Amino acid sequence: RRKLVPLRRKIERRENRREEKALIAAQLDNAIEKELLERLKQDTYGDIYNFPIHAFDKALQQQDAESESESDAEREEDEDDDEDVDKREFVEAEDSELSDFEDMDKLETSSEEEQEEEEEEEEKASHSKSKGKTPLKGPARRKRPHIEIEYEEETEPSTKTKTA
Amino acid sequence: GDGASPPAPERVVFPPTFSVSEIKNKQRRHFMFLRWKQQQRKEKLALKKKRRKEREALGDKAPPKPVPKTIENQRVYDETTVDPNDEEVAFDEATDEFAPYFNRQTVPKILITTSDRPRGRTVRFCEQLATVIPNSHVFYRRGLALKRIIPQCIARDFTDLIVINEDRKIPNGLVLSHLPDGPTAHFRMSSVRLRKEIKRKGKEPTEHVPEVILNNFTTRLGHSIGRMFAALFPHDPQFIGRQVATFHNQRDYIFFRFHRYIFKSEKKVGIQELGPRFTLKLRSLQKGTFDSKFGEYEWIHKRREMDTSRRKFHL
Repeated sequence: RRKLVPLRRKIERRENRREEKALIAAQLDNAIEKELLERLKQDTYGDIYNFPIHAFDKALQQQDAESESESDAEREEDEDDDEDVDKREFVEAEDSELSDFEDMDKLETSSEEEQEEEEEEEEKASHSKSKGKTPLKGPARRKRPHIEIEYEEETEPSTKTKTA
Repeated sequence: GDGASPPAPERVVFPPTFSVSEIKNKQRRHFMFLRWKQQQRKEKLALKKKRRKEREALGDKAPPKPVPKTIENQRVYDETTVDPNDEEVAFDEATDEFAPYFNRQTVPKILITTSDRPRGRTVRFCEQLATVIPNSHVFYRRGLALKRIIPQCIARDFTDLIVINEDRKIPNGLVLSHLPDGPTAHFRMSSVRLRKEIKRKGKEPTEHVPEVILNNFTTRLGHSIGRMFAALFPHDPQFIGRQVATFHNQRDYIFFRFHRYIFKSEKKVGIQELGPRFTLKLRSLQKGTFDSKFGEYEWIHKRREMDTSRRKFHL
């Protein structure tokens, strides 16, 4: 039959201990978050997430330094777009700490949100989940069908579980 | 007996020729030792405060904080560390067994099986693993030899074979074999946590193709193992799913985690652990498919040679 190899107690103990220490040293949650943010910065996700805050801030600063009247109209448009997006994000981030993933659902539809009308609509409609905009939302919404997004409950937000 | 002596005064001065260990009475010795310890702690605290005040006083001119030594800092430099610009490595990787995967010529199809007579925990682990890895199938072999299964798998277009080895009702080993005739890696598995044991409130992983994160695979060996893992998942992750499978190597232990992430803002992301988790430690890497006797080993963990230094790692 098959050959049995006995466990070696000392080695087992040593390896377990080393594994624990490696786990602590690894700081997995931080590493994963960092990697995801890196990927976001490097634009691997394309246009799904609409946070050009960083880029726009830099652009804004640059333009402020150069000249204020130059391409003001353009800037305003962009700024408005961006501000709306930002505002929308921040509002929702504060409110929707109860259900983490609703943010996501709203933000996912941002690929077509260059027009301001849509954004305004969204701000109003942000409390009703039925955006009905992109087919993208379908599977995402189906994932969490029962969560209420009327922010009435005062329960403690289910903070992100940083496990281990 | 003596009973506890009155508490020590603020500044206890121990005469210089005094050593706590010379007192014969155990109780008194213990007490004096405690006082000595407190004394040491006070001094240490005072020293720290002084240093901090000096630091603040200097302001900007203060010397930078010394970086503590960690095992990762002190790691013995491995010659086989891959340089991102290395051409030889790039060439090798373009022509090795994973080239068809990376050239998108093959689609991963995984077969998960176990050793003989799997018990409940292993069975459940296999099922959960199958949900985490897209396009995978669990198959229970009853005593069939692996060598006979392999041709059948190849005939049915499977690209990878995973065998979970079990011992005393818990999974403790993993054999990952790339099928057409690719390398076989043998791991020791530990810290297996099924989904219900993980403290989280997420739902089950969906069918979306997850993203893959491979962290810290620096050496040549690490690179090939990393590619093995990457070849398990389909090439194009579906970002809608927002799921990510992470293989993180730290000191030769590979931690596997499966998360769902959400970007709360540009600089902040939240993750929620979903799927099973486990830790792997590489035992051996073989050139061909699974063959324990006649295989050509590319790397074996030799304890006597490789475990001697605490600062040397191979992955």
